[in-house]
Amino acid sequence: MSQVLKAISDPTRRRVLELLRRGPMTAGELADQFEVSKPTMSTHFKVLKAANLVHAEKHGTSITYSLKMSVLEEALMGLAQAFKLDVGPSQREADKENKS
Amino acid sequence: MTPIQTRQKILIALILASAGFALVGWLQQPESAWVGLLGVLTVPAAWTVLMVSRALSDPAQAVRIYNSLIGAAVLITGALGVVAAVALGILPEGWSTRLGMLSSALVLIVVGNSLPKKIEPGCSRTRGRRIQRLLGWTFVITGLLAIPIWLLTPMPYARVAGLSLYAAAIAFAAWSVTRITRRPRSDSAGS
Repeated sequence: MSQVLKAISDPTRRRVLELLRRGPMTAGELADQFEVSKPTMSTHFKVLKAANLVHAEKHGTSITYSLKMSVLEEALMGLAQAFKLDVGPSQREADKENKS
Repeated sequence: MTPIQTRQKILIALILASAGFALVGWLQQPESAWVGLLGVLTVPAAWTVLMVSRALSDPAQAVRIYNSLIGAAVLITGALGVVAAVALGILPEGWSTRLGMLSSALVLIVVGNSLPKKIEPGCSRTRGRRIQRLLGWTFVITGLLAIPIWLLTPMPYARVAGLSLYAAAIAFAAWSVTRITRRPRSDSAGS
């Protein structure tokens, strides 16, 4: 459960999960939606996979992600979204940028 | 103690408890003893079949199967416990129905919660996932609404409200699934 909370506490990862609600997407298609580097996106995907919130399928050279969230996990994500529980690395990075 | 041994001990305890409840039910109401006997024998029979068929030889699979067996044993033991409590006069007559419907509401919540997490490789991915999510949410919301109905509403109203809720949930799910399946397919992989 702590891995799930860690995964959904980051706004970028929540946005990834929201995009996957519409249907499966490749890693490239998902990365195109964000202005972050590919290694950062790759880390986000790893966290989501470790929390068992996404299912990854390899097709040739591309990886297709699909949503794998229970009802409780989706409800928790909705709460995190509503109360802006942004404590993930993206928020910390943004805080660092704001300070400097 | 390994996870499998722990589950085996829980299962044995539940089977013994169900046998005890069935015995109490049999002593109080001998005419319905066959119901208790059927309940007591179901899980051991399933366990025996699984052992004979070597389905429990793979440890990872065995843990999942034992979890399912424990789930079934909890439901059966709970039901026999309520029957025994009613037979002994510990619970009023109407409460057997109430507790039965409450346990079915809990099953709906548990099953509905995990339904969207199941990956079905044979389905159209987009459509299949949408249907799983829809049914998952429908099950959970129906279960959550059913709990106060069966817990707090007077029995005649609870029957009408509870059954109306289930009928509405089935109608909504059927209508929504039909809508999803009539949409043009947006993917071909995995179908």
